[in-house]
Amino acid sequence: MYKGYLALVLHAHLPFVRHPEYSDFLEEDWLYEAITETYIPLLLSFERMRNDGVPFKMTMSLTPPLLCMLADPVLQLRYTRRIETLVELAEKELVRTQDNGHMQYLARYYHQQFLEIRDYWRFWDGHLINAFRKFMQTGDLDIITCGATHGYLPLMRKSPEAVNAQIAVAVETHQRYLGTSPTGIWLPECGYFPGVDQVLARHGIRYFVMDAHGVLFAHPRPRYGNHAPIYAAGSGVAAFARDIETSQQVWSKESGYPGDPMYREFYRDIGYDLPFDYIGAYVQPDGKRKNIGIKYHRITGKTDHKELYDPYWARERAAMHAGNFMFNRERQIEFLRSAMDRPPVVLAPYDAELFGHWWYEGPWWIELLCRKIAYDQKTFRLTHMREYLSMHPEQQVAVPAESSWGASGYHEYWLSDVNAWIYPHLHKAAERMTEIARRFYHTDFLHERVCNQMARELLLAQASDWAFIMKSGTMVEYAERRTVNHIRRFTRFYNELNSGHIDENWLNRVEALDNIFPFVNFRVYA
Amino acid sequence: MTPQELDNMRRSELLTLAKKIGVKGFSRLTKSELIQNVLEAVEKGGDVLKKEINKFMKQSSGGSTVEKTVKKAETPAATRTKTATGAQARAREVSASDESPGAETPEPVVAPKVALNVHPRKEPTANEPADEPDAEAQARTSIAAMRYADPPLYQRGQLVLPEQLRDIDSNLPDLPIGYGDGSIHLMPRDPKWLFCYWDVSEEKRASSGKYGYGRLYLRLHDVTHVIFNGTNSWSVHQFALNEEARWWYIPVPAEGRHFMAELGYRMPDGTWNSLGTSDAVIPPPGSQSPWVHDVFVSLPFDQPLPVAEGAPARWLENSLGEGRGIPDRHELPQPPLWGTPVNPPSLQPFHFGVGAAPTSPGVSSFVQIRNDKNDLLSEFPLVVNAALRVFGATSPEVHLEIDGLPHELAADGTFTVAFPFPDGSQAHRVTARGVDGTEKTVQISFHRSAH
Repeated sequence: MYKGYLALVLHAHLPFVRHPEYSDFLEEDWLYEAITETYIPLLLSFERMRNDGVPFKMTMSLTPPLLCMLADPVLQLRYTRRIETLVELAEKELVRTQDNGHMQYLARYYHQQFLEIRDYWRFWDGHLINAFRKFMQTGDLDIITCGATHGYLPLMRKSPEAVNAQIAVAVETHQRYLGTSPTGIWLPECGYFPGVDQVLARHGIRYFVMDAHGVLFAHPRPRYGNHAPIYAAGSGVAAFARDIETSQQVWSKESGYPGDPMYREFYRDIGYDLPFDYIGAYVQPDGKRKNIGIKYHRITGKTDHKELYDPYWARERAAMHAGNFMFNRERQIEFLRSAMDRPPVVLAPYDAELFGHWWYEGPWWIELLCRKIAYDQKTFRLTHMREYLSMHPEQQVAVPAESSWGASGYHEYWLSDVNAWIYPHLHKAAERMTEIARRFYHTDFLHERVCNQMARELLLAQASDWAFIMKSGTMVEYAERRTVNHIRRFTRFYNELNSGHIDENWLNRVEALDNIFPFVNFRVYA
Repeated sequence: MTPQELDNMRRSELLTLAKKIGVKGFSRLTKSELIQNVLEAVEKGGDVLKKEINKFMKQSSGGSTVEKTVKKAETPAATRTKTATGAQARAREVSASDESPGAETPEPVVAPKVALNVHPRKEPTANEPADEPDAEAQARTSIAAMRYADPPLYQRGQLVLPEQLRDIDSNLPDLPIGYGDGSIHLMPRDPKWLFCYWDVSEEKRASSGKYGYGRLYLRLHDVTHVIFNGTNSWSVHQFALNEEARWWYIPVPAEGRHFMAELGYRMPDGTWNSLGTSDAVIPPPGSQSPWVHDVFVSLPFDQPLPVAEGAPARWLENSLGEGRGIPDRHELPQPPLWGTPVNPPSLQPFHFGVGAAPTSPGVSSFVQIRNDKNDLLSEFPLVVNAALRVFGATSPEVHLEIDGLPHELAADGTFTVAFPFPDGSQAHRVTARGVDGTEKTVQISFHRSAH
């Protein structure tokens, strides 16, 4: 008999970075890198486990912008180009490295990897959503949704309509691309404020994830701390808390697994290391260098001298770390079970892009962990939140505490000196959107198009990623431009509606550019 | 020079040309855009530029011919020579056709290519082994990238060119500094800080006393459970502002209460001209709730939640309390005093877990209410709480420790400590050490249970 559960949650999210106006755009690489390094490797792990009959269960959030990008024909074709280019470069690497045995071994390894990824991409004909859907239908994967554009809800609450729209559009996106209504949600940045659960409940969402203190500081004090969900008072939506111990083991820069010397070094990429004559065609078109995804070195230690990487030993290390993680969970769950009158659930949420992109061995670690949990122990088993709630419908009622999983646990990261300036504009735009939605509720096709595009612009401007990037300090200019330009486009439409003169040509172009949520209905703001 | 001629050139050559005649931002452009821009520049540049371009094109025409031949030769070459690599085969094709240049180039020119091409490239000739230079050239281009070029983009049946999407924002005005709608907005940032911004028009400021020597102030009102009428707040904190300030960070005076910001001018005669108030907000809690009250309900997953229909709730006002049977934090009966931080409640990280948890972790007044109607709202509150107060006396000069932590005595040698007292057992050890080092210890233990 199992004493408890481990629930892995992977939050897969990227902001909407689609730039058809340029044939090559650096920020689109976020998507391509995530597909090559995270999404397909994870899917391949799932495939292998499925083929071997390994029972595994986990939750993944596929955010609406990510779904829209994965379904976009332009980006699909561009990813095809990207993976074909990588295979081509890997072939050239086979020739280049033939004088160095270790490098040759690595070049062959990468060549093999890229071929496998390309085959998988071709197998699904570029429609990766269907691959995720396959595992959703087998019940192994519970796919949950997120805010429509990952808008940070606690700083949006001035406009309940905008909060409602973030959830409503997200649910619809999920239904359209995955064919089913989401039962759970990853609140953007785990940002919760009392009352948002009522919006979730109205859209049929039954559970969401919080940071540890969101549940620990709930009111009244939760009896089982972080190891059982609470039902939010007033709505009955379940709030699951992140387990502190498991986060640190994986997240921490110093003590976490990803910093092991055996693992691949992120910052030694051939895009920077090789002479321009050779690599020129694979970096940015203006000649600036960038990460390509072929990296030959391992972390080695706190030194500039990096040893060559060896995937064999890295994999062994990942197996060791998976074993260690499992052992710690066994002890934790045994202890928790002795103090609780019900099986505890340990919730371990991570950014999906951590696995594979930042921590190259992450997908192996997940696969090995699932295999070990299935065969090497009997203390606990994997679950996802949906299954847990079906099996344990009786939970405590409390008001979860307003919180987020950002630095210091509240809203500071998104509301600081460098990004506070966006909120007056975002709030004003949200207010205007509601005004427009009510005024033009019954209108003709052209006006409807304008209103719908306004909704898209507002949603895109609200993405928490922009505020996050402004604070984190890299690519700031891009984030500022995105915020400002979406609001400027929104404002121009607003003025056009007020003046009665609509520039259809311009509308057409903006629709072609910001084509997220093709089905959006602006009346959701009314 | 015609667009057709330009089209025959290689992109790299066009890039060099563009650079030469000063086309801005050329490196990001596609070939068709480059041509467009070059043509435009020529329009403006006049005869001098045209001559220069013609000279340039003559020089580079050899290269462009080669490229065209390469494209044509690709398929037959690949099928013909299975043993040779594609690069070699293509190189042979190139060298074979190089001697008969295309129709646009009447006289073959031996061009100083090294100076002109972006990537200097050595042209293979029939006499030289062609493998090496061509392999190098191939390494600099990506065939895959060329093969999967972007398809045309259609929007509502119309072809949209990428370049048409680039200047979408070109005529848009900058964002305004403010909208002048008179709003004042208060947002909690964390348990310790609130953030307030406002957008008050110059006219409103002028009419409210900006030029009557009024001073701009931001006031923070504690409006817990009152309908604010301008004067009835529980407390007011006031901050003097610069006239130019557009936002302000305000420290939170007390946890769990409702706050409202008010902006206004205080006039020299002491009158207050309000510019408006914000909505009320409750800062997020920064510690565990002192209230222990275990209500459990069963909500079967396969049945929908009992949800009220209707417009989104205006949740800002007291979203915690109202009709839910859960009182606000500040309404809870507080223990008479929390005493010294022997066991401060905020430092007990878990109900159970590591660290200094109560001896019987996880057990508190366990009132299990099974509510088969799934109705969260019908339960009325019953709060029963207990605090533990330990007090005593000794000589004033004695060193006193409670649970291993030093405790300061009052002047008369008395001491008082309070502990939270959930259900279960707890024990406390009071140790007094005299000046001569003798020790006296009293162990005192308690048990609480509720039914």
